[in-house]
Amino acid sequence: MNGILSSILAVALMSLPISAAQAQDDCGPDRPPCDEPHDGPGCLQPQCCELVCKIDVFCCEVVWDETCVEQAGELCGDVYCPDFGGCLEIHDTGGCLDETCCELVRMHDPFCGYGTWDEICVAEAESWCAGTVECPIVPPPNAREEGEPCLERLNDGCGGGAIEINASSIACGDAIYGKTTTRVPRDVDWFRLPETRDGPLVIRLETEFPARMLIVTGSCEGPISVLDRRPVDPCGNDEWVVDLPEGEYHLVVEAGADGRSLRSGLPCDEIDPKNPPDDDEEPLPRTYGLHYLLELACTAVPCPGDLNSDGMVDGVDLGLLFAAWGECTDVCPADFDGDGTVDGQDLGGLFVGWGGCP
Amino acid sequence: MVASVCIVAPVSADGPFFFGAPQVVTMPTPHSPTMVAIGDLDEDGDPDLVIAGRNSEGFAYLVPNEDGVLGTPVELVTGGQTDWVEIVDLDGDGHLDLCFAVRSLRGRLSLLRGFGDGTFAEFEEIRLGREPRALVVDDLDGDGDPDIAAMNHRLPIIEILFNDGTAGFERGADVVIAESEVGHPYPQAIDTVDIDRDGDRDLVVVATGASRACVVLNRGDGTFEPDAGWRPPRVAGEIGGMTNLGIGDVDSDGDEDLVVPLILLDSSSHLGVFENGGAPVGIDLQRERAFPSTQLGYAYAVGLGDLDGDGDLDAVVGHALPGPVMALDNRTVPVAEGGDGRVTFEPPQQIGSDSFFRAVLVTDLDGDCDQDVLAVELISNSVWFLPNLTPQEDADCGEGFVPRTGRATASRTSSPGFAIDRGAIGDLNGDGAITGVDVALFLETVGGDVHADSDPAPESPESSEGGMRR
Repeated sequence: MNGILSSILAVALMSLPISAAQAQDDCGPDRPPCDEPHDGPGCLQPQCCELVCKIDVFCCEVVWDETCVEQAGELCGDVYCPDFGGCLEIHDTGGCLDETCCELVRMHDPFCGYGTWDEICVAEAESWCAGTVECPIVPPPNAREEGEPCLERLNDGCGGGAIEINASSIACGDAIYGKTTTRVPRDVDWFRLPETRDGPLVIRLETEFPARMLIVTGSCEGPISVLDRRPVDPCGNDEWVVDLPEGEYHLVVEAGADGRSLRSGLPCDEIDPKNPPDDDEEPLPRTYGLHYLLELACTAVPCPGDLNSDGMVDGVDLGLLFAAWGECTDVCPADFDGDGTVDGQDLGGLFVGWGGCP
Repeated sequence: MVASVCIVAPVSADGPFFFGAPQVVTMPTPHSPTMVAIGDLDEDGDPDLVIAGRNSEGFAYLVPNEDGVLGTPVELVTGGQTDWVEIVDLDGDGHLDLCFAVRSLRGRLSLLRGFGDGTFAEFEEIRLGREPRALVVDDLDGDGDPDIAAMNHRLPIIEILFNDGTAGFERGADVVIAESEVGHPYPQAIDTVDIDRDGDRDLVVVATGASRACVVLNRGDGTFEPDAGWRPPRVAGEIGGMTNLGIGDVDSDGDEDLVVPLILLDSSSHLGVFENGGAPVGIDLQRERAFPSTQLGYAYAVGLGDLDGDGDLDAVVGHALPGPVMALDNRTVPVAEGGDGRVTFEPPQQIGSDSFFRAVLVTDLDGDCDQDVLAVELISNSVWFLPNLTPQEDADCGEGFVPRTGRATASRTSSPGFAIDRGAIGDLNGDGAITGVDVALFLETVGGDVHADSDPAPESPESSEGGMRR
């Protein structure tokens, strides 16, 4: 269901008195989905079920037949949430039983609604459904605005058939308060990284939405390659150390998750003066905020094993590493290789640097 | 639209192509055929055909071949609608097997193990991602058995399946392509090629939505470098939509090049060429050459083969709406022969016509040693065999042409008229513009919707007492 239809439906549903106790009894998780004819009355998706039964009581009194399915299709649009199957279990139908989680995942990954609840949907549910959804970023005083409104495309790389990459610049020490959306065409923010580097770059990203950073090299006509990528969970704050060979690179910030971009669920929050909404038009639904804070440091961490910054890599640092052992949940300085886990590889990295820092 | 064709009048002095009357085999059920592959499945010495298609019953068809006479299509149960088929001995038993990409939201491959007599075991499923559209079978890890790289359309991820030699598969690391695009990448075709001439098999993927040819270099063990994506040659500044891929050494310089059909809005369709510059390290694809393929229809499918026996690869392009099949003579003068080595294709010559030729294949089907053309017609539900009658430079080749003596296996009707209303095509890849890419994406949908599972729809529930009223 597109967002406008969804909003209209939501308004319509709120205005409907639930007059039939029968409908309430027959709508819910013990019934088959509304888009399938089945023996018996009622169907799984409560809002849609009640809407159809308000118009055609047969559907909640006798049987949910083909006509009820057709009415559901017309009145409810594409009904996906809730549906059978646990949100943390792979299954061959779309949707899952936890309606809130189902809607959250489906909003950002529509395949999980109209397609199947596959391992990607499960991973998204694991990442998003138990997490925080509201975390407005307060930009620090030194941060500058990215300066690209939702409705413009100033730094979206090769989008629009561009021959040359459209990108903003980011310099060492910069902090950029930016915004990205999935409005079509989706907004991706490209930043040209400094060409002069004395060592690894330290990229920090704080984000209100599921985000992803890409390191891109090449040109629009080709070849163009993504050399590395890093997802950041919504309301996450991540530090990424990248050591790039000489050359020209771009950093891209986009709505995304592990292995893919996100292309829905983050509508623009600005009004298009050329196409303003109608007075009674509800805004498109959105769960997460649209902002991020991107910071770039070009001074490499001089001594990555020196976790307590005392100029030595020693037993104290070893203790700190063991204390952080396992999967990273936040900023994770002991994760030297940046793989999201403090493990044996990081331990090896610490031993390599054992002793006084250079 | 009435099927036309056949023996074509010469259009230039030194190289017209001549093709005999097409032998057209119509599928027994509505099939929306999408692809043809060949292999000697009954082990009688000549290549048989397998036709994938968007068949609501979940069938594909085996079309037996007897010395260039095509037989009655035989049903193959694949478990879903299929967009792609590869024929190869996957389980190492000496008989060819079939591997289909099942176009379904519940993505999977369907493997049919062959018995060597044109029959097969019941299909086995290999679970994949989001709507597989294509696969390629090749030895990716260098261990001597054929592995699989399978491509999802709704997710820009190539899944790698390593064969244990018996068609047991272990998953390798996924390959992600075209990640930095604004629009949906929507991969559509895949093949292997040793593009950097290091002895292993690299991947090439056509990402239709991104309009990129993505090359993924193999490290030699079935793991891959990050993809490198190229746009096709621009035609009058326009970026074309690509749906298909041909691979071959079209400039005869010893390395393999890529050719793609280009769908354009402001120009007629073209055949685009990525010339492999043969860089000693990495990839050097030059994108300066594109050749008109027809002023009718949208270029959709391409096949390469030496149609006139002069030692170079000519091109055959299938078009859509309307659907001429055009042959382009390769007139490149290789550097080794004193030329400039720049790929040159002569103006196209029509060798067939109907509504939508969705796949073409150049192969010697009748065993007379010249290269014939197989073309899959989506709208009329048929496969066309166009026998090559072009005089070959080798006088002993082409003389063995077998006249079509077999009766037609099924009557066929002309395809209904069908045209695109360009104004009705939306921004299908979500990049904010309507271009030839969107036309390409629209054409990919012709022939059937994709479902969560393409098995036949369940019957409506039986009526129960008091339950029927409508």
